[in-house]
Amino acid sequence: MSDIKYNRPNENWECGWKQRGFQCHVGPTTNGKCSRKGECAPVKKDDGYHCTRQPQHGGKCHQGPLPNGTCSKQYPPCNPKRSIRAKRGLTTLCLSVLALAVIFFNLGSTPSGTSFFSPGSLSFKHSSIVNNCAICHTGSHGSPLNWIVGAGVGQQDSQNCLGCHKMGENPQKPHSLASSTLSEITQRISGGKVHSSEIKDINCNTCHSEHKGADFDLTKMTKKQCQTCHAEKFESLKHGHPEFVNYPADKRVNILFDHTEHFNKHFPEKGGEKISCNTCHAPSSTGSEMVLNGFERSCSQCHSEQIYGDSAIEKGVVFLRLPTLDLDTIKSKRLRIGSWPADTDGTMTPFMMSLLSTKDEFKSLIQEIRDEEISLDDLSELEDEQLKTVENLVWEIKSLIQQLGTDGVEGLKERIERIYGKELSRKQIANLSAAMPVDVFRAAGKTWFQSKLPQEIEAFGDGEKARTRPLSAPEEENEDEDKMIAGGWYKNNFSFNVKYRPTGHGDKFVRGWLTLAGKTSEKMAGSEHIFKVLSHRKESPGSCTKCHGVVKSKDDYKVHWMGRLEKVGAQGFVRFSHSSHLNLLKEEGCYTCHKVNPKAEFNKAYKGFDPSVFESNFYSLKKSTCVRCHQEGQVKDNCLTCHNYHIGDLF
Amino acid sequence: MIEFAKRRMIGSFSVVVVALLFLSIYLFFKEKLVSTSLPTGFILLAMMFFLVGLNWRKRVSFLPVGRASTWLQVHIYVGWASIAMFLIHTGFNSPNGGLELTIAILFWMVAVSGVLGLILSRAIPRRLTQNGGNITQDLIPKLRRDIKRRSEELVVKSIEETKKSTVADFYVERMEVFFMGSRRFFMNHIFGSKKHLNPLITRMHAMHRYLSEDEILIMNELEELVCENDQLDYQQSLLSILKCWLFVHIPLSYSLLIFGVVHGVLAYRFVGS
Repeated sequence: MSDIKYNRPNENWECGWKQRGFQCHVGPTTNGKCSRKGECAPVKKDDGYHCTRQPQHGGKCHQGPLPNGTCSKQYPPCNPKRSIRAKRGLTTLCLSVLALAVIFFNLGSTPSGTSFFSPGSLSFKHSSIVNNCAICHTGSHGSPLNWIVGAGVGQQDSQNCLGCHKMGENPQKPHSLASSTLSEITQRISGGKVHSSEIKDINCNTCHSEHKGADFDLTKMTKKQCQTCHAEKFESLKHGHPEFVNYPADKRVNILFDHTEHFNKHFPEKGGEKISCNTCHAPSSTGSEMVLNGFERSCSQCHSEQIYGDSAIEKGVVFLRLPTLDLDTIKSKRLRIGSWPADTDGTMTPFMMSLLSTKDEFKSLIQEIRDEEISLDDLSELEDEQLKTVENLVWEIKSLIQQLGTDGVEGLKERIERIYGKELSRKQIANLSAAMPVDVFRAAGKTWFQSKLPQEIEAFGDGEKARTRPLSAPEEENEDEDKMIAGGWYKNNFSFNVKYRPTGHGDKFVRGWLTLAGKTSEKMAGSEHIFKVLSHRKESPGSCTKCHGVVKSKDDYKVHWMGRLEKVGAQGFVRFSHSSHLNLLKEEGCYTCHKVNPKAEFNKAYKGFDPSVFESNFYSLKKSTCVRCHQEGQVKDNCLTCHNYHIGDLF
Repeated sequence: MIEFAKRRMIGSFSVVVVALLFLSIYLFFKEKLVSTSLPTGFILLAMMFFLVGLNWRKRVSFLPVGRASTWLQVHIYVGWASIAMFLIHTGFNSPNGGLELTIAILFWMVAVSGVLGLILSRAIPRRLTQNGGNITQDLIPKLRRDIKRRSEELVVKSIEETKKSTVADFYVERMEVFFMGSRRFFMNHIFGSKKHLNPLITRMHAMHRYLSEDEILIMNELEELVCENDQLDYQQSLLSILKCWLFVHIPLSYSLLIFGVVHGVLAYRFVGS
């Protein structure tokens, strides 16, 4: 044994005697065994074995090798120890194997593996998705081992998001708007200076990062992030945000209510000085909108009489009327129209003209009557062929009365469907007929034609036209429409007409016919005429359009039956919660934000049908009103505080 | 050769600049709604591979891949930069998932052990130099054996020369055990305490009143050997500390690398396009 002369730091094993301060100069084998060798390896020469111990180890020994050629100075055996480096390497190997074992164990197992590899718990709103990555991540079915197999392939997982989150027709476009719409808006706002570049799809995870914990706000965005795509950037609402333009009333409101006129004139006249904003307006269920309280609470006190027509001369809608005929000409030309009251006074109603247009032969004649080119009370100028058509039209009028008197609603439905060209739903015909009673038309036919109508129609059906016979005025007492206070159907024997009196606000008959006739693009015969009569702001029964705005888009008229409503699922660019702000109002109340513009010509715009032509009773809100609170250090002024990102009908 | 202080200043400054550059790029792209997870993750993984490369550099010393000392210097500064990159990659948030939490724990253990190792490798050599010069750990057993042999020779000498066994009895009773252990009084040495040594020295001095002049001379020589042996224990304690931290730093680095690669593959798979 010798002192330590040199070291083998890169060897994995070292002599077991090293810690005692000495070691053999051979050292352990590479696999950690003691070499158990002598201090030299004797060499055999002619005269036997000779010692070969090197001088640095003491030189040749006195004893010399043993007779069998082994060294006489054998090192005592030791238990080799691992070097520090080897111990460190072994620790590294063990921990690496442990790491791999953890990974492979979790790769092959579900759900523990899924839970281990998940980058974090889902937000509260997605918490129902437990250990099922495939719901959101395309192609991640089965155990986590399958995930690795498909590694390197970027996945479009947004489609999976859209499986639950309906974002309209353009869900991955900016603001969920069509590229053309976005381009239009961009050009409009910038005054044509900025043109939106190619609009690519945006993945949901661009803005919404999941796996950030249950309390993470998925919709949280900074001001700068919101403005990433915007050409014009600004610091905050206070600094740089454009001034509001015509906000919130940027288009015509549905209900024609002149605030200035009502507060300055009508309410004082009716003793309603104490009427305030919340008499008519109240926060919606979510608090976002101030919706109308409804007709009964807000308007009925003053406007019910107008709807019932209490003070009107004509209280009901004239649905059917026997027109005055030029009986002298009819007789002289030997036309055969059967019996006809001689005392009729009036023209056909728009409803009649439409219902009589079921046959092509009458269409041109009715159009001429409608255009006042021909009048049935003066047929002297007509040619024989036209007179023949008039004769047939008179029989059609009588057939109509007979049909409504026998088939009732069914007869009306059959005629409307023929002129409308479409099948009506039960609800539609219920509205259009307003439970039309058969008795009224049967009694009208019986009274006006003195019980001769059924026989004449029957004979006409057999091809036999009864000769013309003027009838005297009916003797039956007239129905007093003043007594029809609840509304409904009734006949007038003096005027030879059948009327319908509205039953109150929201009358289904008037509403039904205005809706049907407003669709002039449907080409229903006489629909425009009917709409014109029913939508007259002052003379129409019910005066619906006195308050309900009418707009025209393309060829169709549309009556806005509902006031401002909270649209569930529909989002615009701007959002505002009224209920959150109500308790902040001072003595000015709603006028804190909504300043009345006394000079606004509110009513003027409603003379036309263009919804974009509008002048609100109120000035546009000022940005400074909002900035009073919404600024740094006070109330938050992020973009998403007042703006929605996803626009449109969302569910 | 650039002097150490200047080199450290340049290196530290470079790390700060790189970290600020990473941070600026991260914040810029974050505001642009561009995901930085993949690029920062892959840069971080590349950094880890480079840091582990130091260990392999030592194994392939025969290859001309630069001096080990240069590698170590770069290793230190890249290590600091990787801490900055890790914070940027995680968005300065604590991880939620099992794998990510494991990676984070391993990363911080490796990083902290690295920083600790750096501090130790600066402080311990200075202490060793101040207390007895540079001795390699491999030589300590031999030196200790020499001291023990010399002390035993002195004890035998005292019996032979004085015909008394006072010194020998004291040696057997109090001192022999002191020369036996190699890791005795470890914590005392780490904290530079002499409370294990002082009672023995005091007793040795107290023995003088019972000893002849020759015995006192021998006892003084023994006292010197005791102090010399204590010095060796001190050296060995500090040298073992200097190697001990690598038992945490290196093995965990490899585990971190394995988990990091799996995390990278999964992230690339699931991050979406």
